[in-house]
Amino acid sequence: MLKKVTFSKYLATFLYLIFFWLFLSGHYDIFHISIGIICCAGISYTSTELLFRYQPDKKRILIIIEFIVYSLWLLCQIVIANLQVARLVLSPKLKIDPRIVVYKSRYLKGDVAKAAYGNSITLTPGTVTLDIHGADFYVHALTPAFAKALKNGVMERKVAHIYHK
Amino acid sequence: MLTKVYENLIVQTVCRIMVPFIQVYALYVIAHGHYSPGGGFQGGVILTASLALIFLAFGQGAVLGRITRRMSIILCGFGVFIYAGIGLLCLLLGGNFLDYSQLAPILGVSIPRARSLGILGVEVGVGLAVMAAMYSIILDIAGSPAPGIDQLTPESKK
Repeated sequence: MLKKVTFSKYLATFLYLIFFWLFLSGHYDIFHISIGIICCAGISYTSTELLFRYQPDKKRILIIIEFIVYSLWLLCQIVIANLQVARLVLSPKLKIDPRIVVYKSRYLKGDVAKAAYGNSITLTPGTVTLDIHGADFYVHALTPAFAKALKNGVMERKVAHIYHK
Repeated sequence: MLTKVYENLIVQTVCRIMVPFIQVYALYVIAHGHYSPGGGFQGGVILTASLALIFLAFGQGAVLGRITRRMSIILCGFGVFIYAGIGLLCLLLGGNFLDYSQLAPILGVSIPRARSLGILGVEVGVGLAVMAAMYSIILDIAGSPAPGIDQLTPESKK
């Protein structure tokens, strides 16, 4: 299992996991921390190739920073879309016209970028990613307005900016 | 029986990132059983859940490449061995079965500390045994018994 894994990837996985352990455990004494170190070392040994499977195009630290910035923007989009869906669903007329559209992405390459974009679509209410085949995203949208907002491609450009140069 | 691997990009990407954190959480539950809800059985089930997640996302070949059927049976027996072994050790040292205070002179700690460490030890054994047993149950229920099963390559789509 250590054939494809360099020590720096193992160390990065170990640091992620030990940070998670310290966040979970309220006990910061030698006994519990040493248990945490042993457990995280063992899990890092078996799971590093799960976490660091692909080599990204740009530096990982830049990706992390831009991802955090993007997630703040995404939070605003979620609030806006939530209000739209709430107004739609709570009105007595219930003007929904659900449809499945195929969105062909142009800039996204690689599994993680596409999964991030698909999850962003699902997180914003009104649209749900059903499947991804190659560059095609099969999205279920509540109204034609949501489908058109998807086709604008603003979110795709932002996600592509995170993972590709 | 799941012989076909349903590949879904989002499921595979998210599951493979989540599995190490789920396993850390499971070991946290086992190690902190004395303080917060948890213990051996609960942590063992969460460990099995992480393996079941790999099974669902990547297919039987991937999960058998991590822990083979043979290894799961060995682990199950090893977990029970740890539990009964600690109990018998206390018996051999002159106390009752699972009387952890007899371990105090070996470990060099006070008697309450020895009891705490003894309980942690049996919880580790229980967690291991539970993980292996539930894992083999999942494989028996949802796996396919085709020959050459303990291989690394995923099943061909039928």
